[in-house]
Amino acid sequence: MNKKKKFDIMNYFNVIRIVIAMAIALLIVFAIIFFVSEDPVFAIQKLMLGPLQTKRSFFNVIERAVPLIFTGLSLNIVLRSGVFNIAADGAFYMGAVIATAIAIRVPLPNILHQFVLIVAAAIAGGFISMLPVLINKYTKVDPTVLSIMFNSIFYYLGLSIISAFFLEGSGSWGSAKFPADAKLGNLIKGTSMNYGFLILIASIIFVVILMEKTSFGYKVRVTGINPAFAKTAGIKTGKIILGAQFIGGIFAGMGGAIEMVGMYKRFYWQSPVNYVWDGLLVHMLANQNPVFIPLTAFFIAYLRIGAEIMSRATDLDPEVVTFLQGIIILLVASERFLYKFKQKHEQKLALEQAELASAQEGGNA
Amino acid sequence: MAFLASPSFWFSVLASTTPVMLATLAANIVSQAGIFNLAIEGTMLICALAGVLASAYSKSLLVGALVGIAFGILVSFVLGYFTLVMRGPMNACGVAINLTATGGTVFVLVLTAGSKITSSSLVSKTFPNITIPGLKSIPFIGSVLSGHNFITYVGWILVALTWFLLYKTKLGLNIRAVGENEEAAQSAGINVLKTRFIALTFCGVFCALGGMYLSMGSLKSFTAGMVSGRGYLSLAMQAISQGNPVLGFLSSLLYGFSDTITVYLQLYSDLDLKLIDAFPYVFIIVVLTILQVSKSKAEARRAKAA
Amino acid sequence: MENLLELKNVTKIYEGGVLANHNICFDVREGEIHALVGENGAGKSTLMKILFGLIPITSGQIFLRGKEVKFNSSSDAIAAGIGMVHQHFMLVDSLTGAENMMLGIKEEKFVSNRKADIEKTREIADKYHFDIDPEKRVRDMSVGMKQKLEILKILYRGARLIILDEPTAVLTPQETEELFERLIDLKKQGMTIIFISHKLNEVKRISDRITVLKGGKTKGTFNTADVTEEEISNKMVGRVISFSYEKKPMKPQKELLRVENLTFKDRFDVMKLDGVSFSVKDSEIVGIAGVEGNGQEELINIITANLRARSGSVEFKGKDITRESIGAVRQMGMSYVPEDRLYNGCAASMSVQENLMVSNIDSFARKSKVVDFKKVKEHCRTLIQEFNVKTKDENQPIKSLSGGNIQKAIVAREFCAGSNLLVLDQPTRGVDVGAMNFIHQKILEMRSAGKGILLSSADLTELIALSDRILVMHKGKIVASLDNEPKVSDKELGLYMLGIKTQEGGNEDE
Repeated sequence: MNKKKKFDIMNYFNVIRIVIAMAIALLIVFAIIFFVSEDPVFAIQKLMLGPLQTKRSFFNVIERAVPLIFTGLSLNIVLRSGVFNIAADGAFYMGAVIATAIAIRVPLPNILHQFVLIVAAAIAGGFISMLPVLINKYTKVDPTVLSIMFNSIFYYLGLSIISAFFLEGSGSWGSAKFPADAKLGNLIKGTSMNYGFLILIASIIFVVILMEKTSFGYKVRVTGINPAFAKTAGIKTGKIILGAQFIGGIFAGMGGAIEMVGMYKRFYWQSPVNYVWDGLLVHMLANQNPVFIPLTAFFIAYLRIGAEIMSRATDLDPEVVTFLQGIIILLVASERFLYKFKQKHEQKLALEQAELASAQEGGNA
Repeated sequence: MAFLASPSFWFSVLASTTPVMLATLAANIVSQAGIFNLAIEGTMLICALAGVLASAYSKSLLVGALVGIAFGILVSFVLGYFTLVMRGPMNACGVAINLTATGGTVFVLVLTAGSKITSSSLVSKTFPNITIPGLKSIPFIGSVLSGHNFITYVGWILVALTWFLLYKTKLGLNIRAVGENEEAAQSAGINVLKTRFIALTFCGVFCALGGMYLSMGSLKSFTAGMVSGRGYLSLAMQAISQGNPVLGFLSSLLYGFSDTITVYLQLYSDLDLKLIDAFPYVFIIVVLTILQVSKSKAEARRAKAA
Repeated sequence: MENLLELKNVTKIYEGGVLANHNICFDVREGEIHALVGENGAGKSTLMKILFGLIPITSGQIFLRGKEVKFNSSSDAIAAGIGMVHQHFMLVDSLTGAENMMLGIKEEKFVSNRKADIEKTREIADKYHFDIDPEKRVRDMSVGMKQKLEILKILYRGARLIILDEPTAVLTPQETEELFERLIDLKKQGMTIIFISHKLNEVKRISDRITVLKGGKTKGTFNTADVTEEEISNKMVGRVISFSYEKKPMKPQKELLRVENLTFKDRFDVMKLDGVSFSVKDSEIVGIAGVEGNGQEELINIITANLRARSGSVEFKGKDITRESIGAVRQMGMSYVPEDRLYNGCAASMSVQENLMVSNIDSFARKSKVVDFKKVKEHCRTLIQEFNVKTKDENQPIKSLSGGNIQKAIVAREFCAGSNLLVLDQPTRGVDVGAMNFIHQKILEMRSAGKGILLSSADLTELIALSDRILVMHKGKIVASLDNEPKVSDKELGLYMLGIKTQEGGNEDE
């Protein structure tokens, strides 16, 4: 019985690591707030409890979680193939741009209209996400660097497409309004929760099945963990990696489209949205398991909204949350974080086994 | 395209090359030691702000510069600690530092300057522009090469010094050995970790100079996100130059050229497209692809001939 | 003679809980050549890495000249007068011999002086009668010269105790002979040498005393003059060394694999394969013997489509597969157990089950591409049971198993993929005797079931015990094809392997 209990601790080792990393990061952020704020207790209260204080702000959290779930799912597929490609940001932005273009320029009946614009955005997202890996093949430049460069390129491209063809003359910068038959209808009255939410749930289920249950997902994971082994076992790793980029990009592009026609009346993203960084955190906190992505996305969205509420009520900027992000990523990614604990445990186990083995050997002789 | 013949165009090319040149130098020296530093972008941003704030509060350029450099080294060491000691993946740790830098600088900016966008409400010091007496009188060349910012000239000297350091000194040999074959270096008695942290120190100094050039040289104040991808571009330059500082300088001229052309095109044409801002990125990717493809073709040809 | 070095209860546990050394005790006297012998995986290399400060010790003590020492890095060990020549040379390929010599030397001036370095390197080489070219880049040097450079490097760093980790594994007989002369020379000059090997004839020839390691433990230290090779080998393996298995006489019917005139040059333009031809039929085991680095690795990689041949062809079941992908070759019915189980034999952090299903994942997928995990689980449980893989359950990460059990799992996966040809590269390297015996039995079962087996192994007793035919490789050529009935002697094999003897018309003509 005793032995079984010990094994359980090691099974939850990754989860414990993540929770401790989050706790450390939160403590550091609290310390920063204490250091700079005039009323730190009030500020922390707003940060931690603000989102629960009104129904509206709670729904804000859920709305904010939606794009994070899409980018989180996208990164889950992309990163698990072993390539640190974060072109999901460009894919997300272009997804929104393409959705805007089709919503405004292509007259189609309700339902079909939404379907076409989401599919178009998804496919575009898939191709965008493949670019860094393709160019990496020829240039040997790190795909992370390439993906960040492509994010800038597609941001400028998207911005100029909207500026050139879809700008509405009067008022502040923004596209013309979307027609009603291009928008996703409201699911719950009084909030901006829309039918995109249902697509989101379907996407989560799809990714969970794809990554955990299908042979494709399995091949992606093997390739990510040990590409040499995957190759020797006959997996076409190049194709699998490209496929993972494409499918991952689909969810980013789709997320951009759904965010745009679901949440807004018109396109007015004049700066990059940068959801990919929150998405990265969502993916890492979920311990690479897509099942937990909704939960971790909710957590990050909660902090984001909490920070916004805090900044409205106090003298602090909501960007304080980025300290939290940075610290969590550093700690969770570090192989050696809480390593001593694990090492001691492994050593004890190894010695026990060795003694058992030598006892057996002695018995046999 | 008449502006291509004007000295002021080429002066601008050299000016806008400076920050990328320093960033590329930083990327090159750590890559020789076997480190992939994605955090150059964030390090430059932090140093740009640190230099401005320190010079504004101390009323001294020297203090500002020293604080900026100290932050450069500190941030590089944070990356070193998490990647080399704690064994985190270099990409994820670099991204984490860049994230914190992007948000953290805004957070600090709001606290100190009361603005989310710029530090212009603070009176900070700047590095002077330097006119070189003899050089200035030479037609064309004089007006291209003289009158640059202090940091630009320091940067040129550093390119030469870094080349000398890497290829002509014992420390450079150690750095290259550590980067090429860590185990061999270790068994030759080189302290691998220490050597890498030395490389990171240089990297931090170069990043700091590059960052401060932006906020205390070419501009007179810090603005949020002012590094705008130069740190990432430097990693592409590093791929072109394969760790060689002189080649790194030449390839960052590519960036300077494409960036300046972008500015001129916007000035001299009535194009109101944001698209032109993407030109440097596209240009670099295209050049890179052409270079590498022709290189591998040449290699294939040589292999066939052999 | 005084004890120069003493180890007391040294224990080392690697990450992931692998116990490599367990309470090791032994001592080395000043001015002797002390051999450390043991099978692959006995913990010799780990022990030496500890001595040289490359990896931290888990528990135990090391005494140098009676004083306890703790090495945190190799520079501490070097400062204490210990030098090590590794199995894989620790040289920086793009640097010259002189640059490698001077690497990390504290007295060097900050600005390097190329000429002085070359001069100094020459001087040292002359002093010890070592013949090297200090201006040559390491990547252009021969293996022998690299090794000499390594030894000079550590002598120049003031080493009085020299550790040589399997120095002869990569050398030609002449080079080995020369090395031994140099070593005896060094001993006369008062150096102490620890010589790690599993070649007992060499150990017997050159050493004064022998310490035997087995399974991470010491099995005693002996005066070389007092023990015979047989006695040492018994200590090493803990059993009589020759296996003898009942082999059913089989009648091979058809040719499965045909290799025709294969050539391959590596990136340094060294001819690794030079016109190799042979064939493997069903129900037969063809062994490949050779000193490491004589082309066996490349041959296996080309047959399994992991590497492309320069010229020549590989035919499998009558079809040319020289340009096929690994996946296609596997699909056609070839299985492959690679040499390095952790590098490309398994995904260490994945579960046993996920490692067992990799080669036939598509056969478990339904039409919808969703994997039928019930079927997978059943299949895995059968494999685990049939191959006696000791694991808590199929969800255990495979890296938590012992080396022998990981190997059994890999063998299980490859043997049960329904293939006709099994390509086995060092299938029992570094596994315990029990697992080795078990895997041997399974290989023979496969033979009885009509499979063709190509077995490359550094373990000659294994080759002799299992093979129907043994091909010996030397410098990229097959120098002998020996019928293993009656059994070939390992002495004879050795002669071919060292290139001392060649068979007329070594490449088969069938």
